[in-house]
Amino acid sequence: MIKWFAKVHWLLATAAVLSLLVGMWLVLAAPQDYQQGNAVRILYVHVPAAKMALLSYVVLTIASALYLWRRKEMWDILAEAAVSVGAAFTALTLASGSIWGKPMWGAWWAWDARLTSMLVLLILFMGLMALRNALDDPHKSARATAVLALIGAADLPIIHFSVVWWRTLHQPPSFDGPAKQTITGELLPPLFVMSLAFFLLGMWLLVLKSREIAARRQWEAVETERLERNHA
Amino acid sequence: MNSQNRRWLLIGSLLVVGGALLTLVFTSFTGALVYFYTPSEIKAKGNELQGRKVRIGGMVQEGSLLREPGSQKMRFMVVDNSERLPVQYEGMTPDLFREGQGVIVEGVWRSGETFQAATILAKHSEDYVPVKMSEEGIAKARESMLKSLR
Repeated sequence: MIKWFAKVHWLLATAAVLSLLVGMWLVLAAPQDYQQGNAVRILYVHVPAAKMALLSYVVLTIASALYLWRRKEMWDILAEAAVSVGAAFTALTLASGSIWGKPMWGAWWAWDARLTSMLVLLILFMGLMALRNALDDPHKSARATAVLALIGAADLPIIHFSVVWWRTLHQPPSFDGPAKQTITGELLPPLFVMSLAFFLLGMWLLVLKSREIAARRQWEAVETERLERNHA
Repeated sequence: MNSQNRRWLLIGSLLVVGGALLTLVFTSFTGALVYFYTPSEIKAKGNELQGRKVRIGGMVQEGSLLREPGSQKMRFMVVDNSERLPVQYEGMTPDLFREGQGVIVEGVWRSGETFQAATILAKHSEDYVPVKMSEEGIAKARESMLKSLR
C-alpha cells in the first residue's frame, strides 16, 4: 500500500490544490448571508474541517481494528498517520468555530454538548499521540494505541447526534436526509467544492504522513541493526 | 526520553483520556448536556431554581425590545411556543441579537423578580440564505428555531 501511495501522491496533491483554489474563489464570490453577513464565509472552512476530523477518526478506527486482527504493520502506519491528520483538522474546526462564535453568538466558547464532545475528540487524538510515545516496545505501543482508538470511537456518534439529542447552543445539521436542506441558493456551491477540496487535502496529508512514518521506521530499523553490528 | 519519563507520560495520557471519556459518559446519562431551559420549563420548575445560575433559551419577542437611550440597558421578552419571560440586561450584545431571533440568557434565578441576564448569547438557526432571498429565509429560520424549542 505504501508503494501505491507513492504513485498517487502527486495526483492527489494537484487535485487538492486545484480544488482548494476554485473553492476559495467561490467562497469569496458567494453572497453574504441575510443574518450573518460576511461571517458565513468562515463556515466554508469550519464545516469541511469538521467532516474531515470525523472522517480521520473513522479511518483510524478501521485501521486500528484491522491492525489488531491482522497484525500487519501497514495498518498501524495508517493509524498513526490518521491521528496526526485528525488532530490538525479537529484543531482547525475548534479554532474556526471560535472565530465565528465570538461575533455571532457573543462567546468564543460554550460548554454545550457539540463543542464539548469535539474538544474530547482533540484530547483523544493528543492522548493517542502521547500513548504511542510513552511505550518503548513498538509492538506494545501499536496494540495499546489501537485499543484506545477503538474505545474512543464512542465519541463519534456522540459528536454527530449531540445537536439532535440535546438542546445546544450549536445549530442542528443543515442537511438531514433528502427532506431537509436549509442552505439556500448561491451559498451552496462553495460548500460543496470546499468539502471536496478538504477531502482531497485530507487524503493527501494521510498519504504524505503514512510515507513519512514508513520511511522513518525503515530508517530506525536500519540504524538499530547497524548499531547492533558495531557492538558485536 | 528515559523510561521514568515515559512511564509518567503514559500514566498522564491515560488519566487525561480516561477522564475525558468518563465525563462524556456520565454527563450524557444525567441530562447535564442540555444547554438551556425554555421559558415553559422554567415556569414549571418554579421555586426549585431559586438562587441558582440558569440559562434560558427562546426567541426575542417581536416588538418587545426596549433600549434605554444613552445607556446599554435594555429589556425584552423571551418566548417559546407557549410561555414568555421578561428579561433585563445591561451591556454589549452579539451581532445576531435581534427581535424575532433565537437567544440564550444567562443569570441567577430569583423568583418574583424580573430576570437579570448577566450574559446574552445569540442562537443561530441552521438556515443559511443569501441576502436577496431573505424574505423567504426569515420565515424558514423562524420555523426552525421554534421547532428546536419544542
